[in-house]
Amino acid sequence: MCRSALPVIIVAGILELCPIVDAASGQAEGVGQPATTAEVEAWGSIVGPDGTGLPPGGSTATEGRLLYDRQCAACHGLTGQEGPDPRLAGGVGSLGGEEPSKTVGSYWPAATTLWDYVNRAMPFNRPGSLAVDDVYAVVAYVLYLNGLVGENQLIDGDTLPQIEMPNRDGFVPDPRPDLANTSFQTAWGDPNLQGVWSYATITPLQRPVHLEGRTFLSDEEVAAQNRDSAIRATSERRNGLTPERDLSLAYNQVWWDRGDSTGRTSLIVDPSDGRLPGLTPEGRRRQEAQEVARREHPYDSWEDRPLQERCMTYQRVPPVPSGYSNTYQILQVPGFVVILNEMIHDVRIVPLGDRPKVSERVRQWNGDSRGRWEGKTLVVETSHYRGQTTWRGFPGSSNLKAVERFTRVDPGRIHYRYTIYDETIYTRPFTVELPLVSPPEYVVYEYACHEGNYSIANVLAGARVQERSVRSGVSADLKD
Amino acid sequence: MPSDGSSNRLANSRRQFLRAATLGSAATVLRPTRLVGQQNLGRSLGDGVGGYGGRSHFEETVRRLRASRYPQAAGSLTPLQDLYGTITPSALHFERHHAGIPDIDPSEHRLLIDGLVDRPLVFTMDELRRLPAVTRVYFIECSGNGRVKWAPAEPDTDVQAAFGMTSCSEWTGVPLSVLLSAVGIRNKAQWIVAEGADACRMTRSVPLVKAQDDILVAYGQNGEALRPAQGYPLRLVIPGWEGNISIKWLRRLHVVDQPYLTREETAKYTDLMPDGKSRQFTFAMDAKSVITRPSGGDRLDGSGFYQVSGLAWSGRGRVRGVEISTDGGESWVGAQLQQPVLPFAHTRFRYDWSWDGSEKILASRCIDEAGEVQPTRSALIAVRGTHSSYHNNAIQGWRVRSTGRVENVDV
Ligand code: HEC
Repeated sequence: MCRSALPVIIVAGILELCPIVDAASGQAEGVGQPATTAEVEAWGSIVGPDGTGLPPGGSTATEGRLLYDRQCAACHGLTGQEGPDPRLAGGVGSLGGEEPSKTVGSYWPAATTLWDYVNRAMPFNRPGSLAVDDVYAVVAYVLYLNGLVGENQLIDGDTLPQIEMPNRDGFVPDPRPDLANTSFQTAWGDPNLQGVWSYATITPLQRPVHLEGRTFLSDEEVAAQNRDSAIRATSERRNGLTPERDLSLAYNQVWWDRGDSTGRTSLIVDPSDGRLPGLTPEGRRRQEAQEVARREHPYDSWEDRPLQERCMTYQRVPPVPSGYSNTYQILQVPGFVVILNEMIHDVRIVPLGDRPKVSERVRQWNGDSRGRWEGKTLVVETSHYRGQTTWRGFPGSSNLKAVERFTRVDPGRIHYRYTIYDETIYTRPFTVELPLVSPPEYVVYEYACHEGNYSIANVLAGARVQERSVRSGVSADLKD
Repeated sequence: MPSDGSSNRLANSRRQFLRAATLGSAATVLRPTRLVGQQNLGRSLGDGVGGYGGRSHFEETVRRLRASRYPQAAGSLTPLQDLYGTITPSALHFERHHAGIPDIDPSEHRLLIDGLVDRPLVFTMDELRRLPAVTRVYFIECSGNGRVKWAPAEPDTDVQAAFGMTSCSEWTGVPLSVLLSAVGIRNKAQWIVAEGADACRMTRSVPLVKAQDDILVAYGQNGEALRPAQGYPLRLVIPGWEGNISIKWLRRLHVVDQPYLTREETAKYTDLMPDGKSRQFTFAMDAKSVITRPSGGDRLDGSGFYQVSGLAWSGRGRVRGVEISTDGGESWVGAQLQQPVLPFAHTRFRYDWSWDGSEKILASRCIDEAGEVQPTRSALIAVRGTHSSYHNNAIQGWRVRSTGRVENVDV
């Protein structure tokens, strides 16, 4: 949206997009007269919900009764309920029912509104004719008809804003668009995937052995898993812990972003057993070599440490959910889709169309992505990986190819699947389906890796200490 | 007035004839005995030049009044079915007043801007007209427009009844941002309470961000001064937002730190949901469209070519497209949009159609640049229930009976 603060010296064609800016350059200097206090007073009061603007004075329902009967009852009824004009009393509890009745008592969130409105608009046929104390008096009486104040309770600038209206919590901000009626298209006509999306889930990548043969959980099982997860997230009690113990729980329960069950027994939807396919002989060889290296040379150099520990990348192209930061933020401009994975600030700028890939020799930790639209589905193909995946649910070689498919199915949900092809490692391709949902008010928290990345030095230094103590026969139990 | 009364009578009898024919009371199509189209060729002098022009006395379309107890707290509806193009004639702009139309002498009118400002100022109309001005085409739609559509469709409801609380004008005035920079906005300021000079001193809280963006303080409408019913001499025009917040007869802008919860943003213009909670500050008008020709109450004169035409608009910017269905929403095809398509303005759409004479259900749906697609009534009430009063943008259907009669129907 255009801001009037934008500089105005833009080409004429752009001005068309910015409804107002062409005039905002002019200042109104010297035009208009300074308002005097007398003028401001003459314009009358505007009353805010905290009571600002309420004039001195006050009254009670008892004093208001006669006034109401004479000045208001003909139109609103003696009890405020008979009409013929709007009902002013009753109706509490009716709002969610078949015949909601919106009255001052059942509906209005603030008593100050009543004062302000009666003062400016009532009686309908003689607005502005009531003296200040008379307004306080009829207001007190209308509140009394609603059972909100006592007969002789003084209603004035201090007491009125404090009256707790029954429906004061009954208003919510505008949630629109709230219908599944968006075409999910960008202004230039591409399917619109923009937004912040979470792929957090407690469903595991591979099907647990005890669920063999089952693709889906029952509704009861899903409910039970979600409930357990929610209980775990809120059950932690940390009072009475020693500082050391407290520190060791730095990653506390609230921290984890577990999400819910997808209803499936595994994220892998193909092969049908829900498990990673078998490894090729080469795949097995590489896996074993990796295990040996991890076992025998875990801390020789920073290069032996996984990439995420070195604050480089979690290799989430494509991702497998983990403890937190399971988010995509998707942005679109004509010709490009941008996918941010905040952990660790990995931004994929995906060109759309048939733009050629980078040279075969250019290899990247997160590969090189190209996108295209197949109907409403964004298909992103990624290859040119470096082939040294050390972290993620599955390994990969430099022949790895990932094909992701994003389809917006409703305002808060993208259908998201990816297929992994890697003939060097796996005996067949496999496909993963992740939830991609956008709960209202979902935010991406900034990911700060090691807060300055001091840890890698400490990890290596710790390993050296450990080695020295092993050599000198002192046992040291250091962990990273 | 034409000096020749006889041509007038002839024209009337011709219209009566056509009306009779289209009502189907004539069993066979009669040809007039005289050559229609020749009688009016002026052979006597017509009217002379004049001061303020009126329309032809043959043109009869008027606003229709909504039933209400008091004409001062009431509404009147624009006859969309009779309009061409995109601008609503000022005399036919819909009205919604809560305490009547004040009669304001512009030389006496003042606008006060005060509250959380560095320099509270009072402006005369002449001073306002000295300031940098802009001209913009914007629709104003009452958020209660389409209210009848919360209930199942009554066959006889026409487009004026169901959609007549939207109108579109060319407005001229000072950007509110210019006035705000003149008074200097203080740090804590977040909202502006706008107040009208009508008898009820209508007030609404307006978010400062919108005020600094594209709100107009308008004195001109369709090339002349505002009409009294549209706020003469001064009003707010808030593009794309529900009409009530575009305060008419503007007398004060009071800059404050929070919304003031005026009656019009609490008791009224809040949207009650099935769970008993109400949505508040539902400002933007949703993507909407309606076929105005043919529309409810029309009778098509036999099968053949008819250009279908209507209006589309959105409070979220431009109309990106309008789709037409002739089968009650089973299938949709794109309509042509009259250019230029302006943001927050009525957009005329047209679709060439050949009627085969069988029963059809015509419908249109608007897709705006935010990607919002006009929903069906059932999709709307599935989420919002039927008590929310405001912001009904459901798709409008017109059933064309094989007799040619056009009726209101839900799709
Ligand atoms: C001549 C009839 C008449 C009289 C007398 C009258 N009112 Fe009203 N009142 C109305 C009408 C009509 C409305 C609705 C106005 C509108 O459409 O905005 C109304 C609205 C109200 C409302 C807002 C109701 C709502 O739900 O939004 C209140 C509160 C109110 N009146 C209080 C009073 C009080 C207090 C008096 C006496 C001092 C009074 N009225 C006298 C006709 C009257």
